[in-house]
Amino acid sequence: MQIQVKCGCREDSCPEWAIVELQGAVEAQPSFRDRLQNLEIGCLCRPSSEEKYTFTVGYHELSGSKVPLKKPLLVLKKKRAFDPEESIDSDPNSSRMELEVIGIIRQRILFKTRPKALISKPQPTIKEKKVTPPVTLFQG
Amino acid sequence: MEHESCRGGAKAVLNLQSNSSISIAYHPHFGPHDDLMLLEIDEKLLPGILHNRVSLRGQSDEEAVLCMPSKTYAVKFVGTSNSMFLVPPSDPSESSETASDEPVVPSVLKVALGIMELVEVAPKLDKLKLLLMENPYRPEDEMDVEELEIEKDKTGLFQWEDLVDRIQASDEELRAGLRALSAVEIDGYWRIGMRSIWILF
Repeated sequence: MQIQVKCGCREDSCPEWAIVELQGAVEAQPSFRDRLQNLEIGCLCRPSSEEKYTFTVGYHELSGSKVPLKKPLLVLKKKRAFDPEESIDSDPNSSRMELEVIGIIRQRILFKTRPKALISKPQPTIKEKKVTPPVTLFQG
Repeated sequence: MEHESCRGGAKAVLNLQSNSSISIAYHPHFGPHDDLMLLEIDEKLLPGILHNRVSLRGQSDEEAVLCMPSKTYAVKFVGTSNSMFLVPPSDPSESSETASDEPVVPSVLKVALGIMELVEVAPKLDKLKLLLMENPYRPEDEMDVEELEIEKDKTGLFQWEDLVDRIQASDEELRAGLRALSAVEIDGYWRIGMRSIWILF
């Protein structure tokens, strides 16, 4: 079989996505796990004019930097192509699959240092009195 | 773009100003999004892809191969233990309405488990030989068909599109392979003659 790779965008206008990459995993508290949508993960800060960043997740602060990727990454989406020539009773599973380029990534903000614990630091972003933030860093 | 980019904010992440900070949240449509994948690509291959000259080829029991017009690449998935948060771009129409009213909250649509890498490989043309040998061309068969008006048996016969579907090679490499086998297109089907088979051994 042949799967066409299509791109609707021109070379200079491929939408740019971003990657924030960190070591380990980010976990949500059990009560939040089924409704992660719209939940805040953390706060990304750029303290100076350098391309250095901190990312605060729960009680951990990570340090990292914005780096260009060695090779760009294309974001591809699998799609079932609608073929107007296919007859009504043809097998739906036989419709062609296509891969569409929907974005490009050229840079990422990479955090690869050990996180700094912020247990004793007051959390100005927490408005209610919570013992544990909903989303925390887990390094297995 | 559809819903995925209605609250992306990639630009807000990449253009974060000095001495500022921004909250990052899970996207309203955060999920596994198994239909989204990342493909690492050489800068020089980018124009070919963006101009629709690329396809994946192979059967379901073979490793996928990415074909440019003249080159073939094996596609390998490389997993990572890192968490790669993917932040889509913002929907341009939405941002023109809200403009500076609402700050954009960059949102993570998916956590990628790895990326696909390309490795240049030689085209897999052995199969081409085997396929064309299934039904080599014999002039005697043609005469029988004409005289007796027998329906031509199409098993083991392949048109160009059939070969593209089955052979993991780029168009140019496939054509070169056909030339190397002295194959000829007869009535739309690619054939090798009985005598050519001896050359193959």
